[in-house]
Amino acid sequence: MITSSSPALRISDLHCSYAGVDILTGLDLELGKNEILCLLGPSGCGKTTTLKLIAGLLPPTQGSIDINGHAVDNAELNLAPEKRNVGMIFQDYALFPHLTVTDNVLFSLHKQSKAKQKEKLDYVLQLVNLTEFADRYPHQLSGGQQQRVAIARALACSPELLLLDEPFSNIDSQVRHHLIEEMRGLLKSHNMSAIFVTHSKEEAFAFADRLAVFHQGKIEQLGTPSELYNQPATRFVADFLGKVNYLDALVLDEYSVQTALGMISSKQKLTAAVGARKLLALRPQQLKLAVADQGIAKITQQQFLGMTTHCTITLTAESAIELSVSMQQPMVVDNVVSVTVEDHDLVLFDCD
Amino acid sequence: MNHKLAFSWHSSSWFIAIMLALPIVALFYQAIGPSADVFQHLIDTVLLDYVQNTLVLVFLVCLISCIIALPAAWLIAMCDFPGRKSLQWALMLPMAMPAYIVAYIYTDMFDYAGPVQIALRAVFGWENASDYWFFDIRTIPGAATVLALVLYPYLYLLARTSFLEQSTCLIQASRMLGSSALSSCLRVSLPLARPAIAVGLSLVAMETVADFATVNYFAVNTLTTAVYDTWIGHGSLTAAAQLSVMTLSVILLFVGLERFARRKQQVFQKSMLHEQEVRYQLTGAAKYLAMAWCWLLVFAGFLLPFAVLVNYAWHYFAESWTEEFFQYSANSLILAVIVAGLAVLCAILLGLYRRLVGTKYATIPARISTMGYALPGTVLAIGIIIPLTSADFLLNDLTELLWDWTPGLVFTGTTFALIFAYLIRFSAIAVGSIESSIDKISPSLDMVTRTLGHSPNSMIRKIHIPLIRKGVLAAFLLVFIESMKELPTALLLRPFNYETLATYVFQFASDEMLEQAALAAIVIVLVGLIPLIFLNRSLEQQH
Repeated sequence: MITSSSPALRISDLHCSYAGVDILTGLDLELGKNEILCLLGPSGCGKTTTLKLIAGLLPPTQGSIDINGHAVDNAELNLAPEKRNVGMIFQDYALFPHLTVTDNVLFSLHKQSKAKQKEKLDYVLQLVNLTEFADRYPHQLSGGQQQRVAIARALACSPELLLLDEPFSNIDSQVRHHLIEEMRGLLKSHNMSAIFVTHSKEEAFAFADRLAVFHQGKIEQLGTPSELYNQPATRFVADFLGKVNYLDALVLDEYSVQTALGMISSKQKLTAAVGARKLLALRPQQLKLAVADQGIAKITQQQFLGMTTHCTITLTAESAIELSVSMQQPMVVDNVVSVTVEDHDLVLFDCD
Repeated sequence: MNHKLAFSWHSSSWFIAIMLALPIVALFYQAIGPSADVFQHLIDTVLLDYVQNTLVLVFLVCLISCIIALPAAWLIAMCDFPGRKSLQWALMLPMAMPAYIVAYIYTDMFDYAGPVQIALRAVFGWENASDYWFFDIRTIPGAATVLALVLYPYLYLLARTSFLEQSTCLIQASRMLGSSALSSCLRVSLPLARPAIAVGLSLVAMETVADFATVNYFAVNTLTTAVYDTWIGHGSLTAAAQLSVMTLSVILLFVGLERFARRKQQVFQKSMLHEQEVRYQLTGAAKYLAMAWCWLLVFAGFLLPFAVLVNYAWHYFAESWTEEFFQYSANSLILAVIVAGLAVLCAILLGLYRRLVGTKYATIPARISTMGYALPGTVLAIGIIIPLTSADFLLNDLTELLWDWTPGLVFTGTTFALIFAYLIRFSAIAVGSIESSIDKISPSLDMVTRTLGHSPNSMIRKIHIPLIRKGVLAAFLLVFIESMKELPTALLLRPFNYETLATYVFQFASDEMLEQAALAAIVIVLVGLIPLIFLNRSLEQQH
């Protein structure tokens, strides 16, 4: 049954092993219509395997995949990739070197009439701004142009779902940001549902509506980029998305904890039991420093990074804890400073 | 990717692999059988000599190859002197010379009746052979020298490539640490090139063991000539098979050494791309010595023999320009085209099978089908005769039973045996060439083709075949050339009254009348030059 409410993609209990190694162990995932989802994780965590399973390029060992309400994989069925109507863009773009831009783009339209092909070609080439390059061969194009050909080719057959495997990793960092913006705009304007794989959190933050952090063949946490960054569910997610300071914390009441930085209060009610010993996670930019003679810490190292300055401070108390702090303005090494914590929802983890 | 590959892919790939491995299996099977007393007789009389001759020959050829090829390789890779660019490829030229032609020409030159000794006698007034000492070329050292003169390019090529791939930083570091150019060569470059040198030497050794024509011409009895004599002379297939198995084990020893040397080769590859090439500028005496050494090799291994051939052809043009020459050229040509076509088809099938199945076991057919390349021609011929004779008997018995009529020796008595043998011997070349061009196609192209709505068959037609066209052409050409040149297999397996260019030239050389087949010899040499042009082009692109 196809209903307007069926999600663009539904994966349930997906398992995959290759050469005796379990790569995916029970993956569940749902992608809404017109949504861009990013699979983020270190290399070897199974994110590219997930893409290949969705595209039908690998057989799952167990589980089911539905695309727009159509089953493509389940216990009885393993639909061939050419029958899934899924577009895929590869890290190396996978342009056919022996075909021109035109022939690359038309590759999936071999069964349609010439007029239809022409119409489609003109449309997608204009979309990616490559009309004047139609007769070139891939090796005559720049990396960014090659990527746009890959996008045009994938869009030409109007796929129900677009899969992108690290599409920006071969692009210079100067133009990467611009391209991400452009591509996101393109997908959004065409109401495309897309899944995007990367190991770079910056790309993920900039490109995705929702993020799924992968760890050892499973999704560790799923949510919007800011949810995951500010409210990580596990220490793996917290560490993977950016630098974190961990402080021993004793839960004093429903709102506050006692730490080496003194008492810190949360905007939201804490879920931890009063009296429990926890670890408090603090991002470097959630700490504020001010020069103060009676301060509890000393700046021991400083690194100027342009937009921000990264400081390492050491608490002067016996514990001599080191913390990372991100500052707008540089300070002076050896300055004694006071430390305050920005008002926010505290994130507590269990102690190891 | 595993989407329901048709059964015909699996069955045909494995069928080809098994057919191409058949002679090796047959050899071992036949070798177990009783050989009357021929083998015992061989053991009692000459076998020890044969083995000893083979090993001494291999050792000497390797030694001489090292002495001549390594300095040349180092000079070309690391130094700059006039003519370096031309020498770089000219040093490969001797590869195109069949060793027995070089042997013939030098024998002609250095014999008692040859121009060199005649001139010496005239100058010094010697009367006859007892007046002076002169080396005899028809000996093991003589054969070794001739073989090394045409086989050294293997070693030269691999060593040169290895020297070029070594990071210049290493050489510069060793110089800063106080080594002279020479000592940095001995202490850094040579040890780093050891795996490549071992690979080169094992190739030289394999070719030496496989050589039939040169040792036969010099009457040096080795295992290969023994195989030939046992079959042709004594008519004992089993004894020939047993000798073949012995020869094969010597070959396998070298193959094993080669594999062993290659196992860590990546470690020695250059780490940084686009390094600037820095060469020692040779001046003064060193410059002239380097030039003299390299040109001497080219001269002795190619220019002189080739000039002699051209001279023969000029003086004996009428005797060379015969109907036989055209007939045998046509024979060779047709044979080579058929073999090259079949080898390419097999290689495409095996290569694509491996690509489409993508599992480890799918590489097995391709690996099996390349085993034949290690077989010396005579050994392969014995291995072919065994199953084909049985097939002939079986066929004739069957037709006699059914229709009371026999077709004769369909397999062994026709060019079928030759084509089959060549296919086994040379399909490895085609498989290698086509496999490497298939491997160059990024796997993501396959995946994207499938997601763009094409079936595996359509993918092969539209993506794989167009992209491997160059590899296919190279494979065809290389197999074609090897088939044109192949001698020992043809000698043993050709039907009666059937000659190829190679057997024709060898026949005349054996009868001391090479002059009259000079045109044919020149054709063989020229055909042999084609792969060198290819090789040189691909090396130029790399560096």
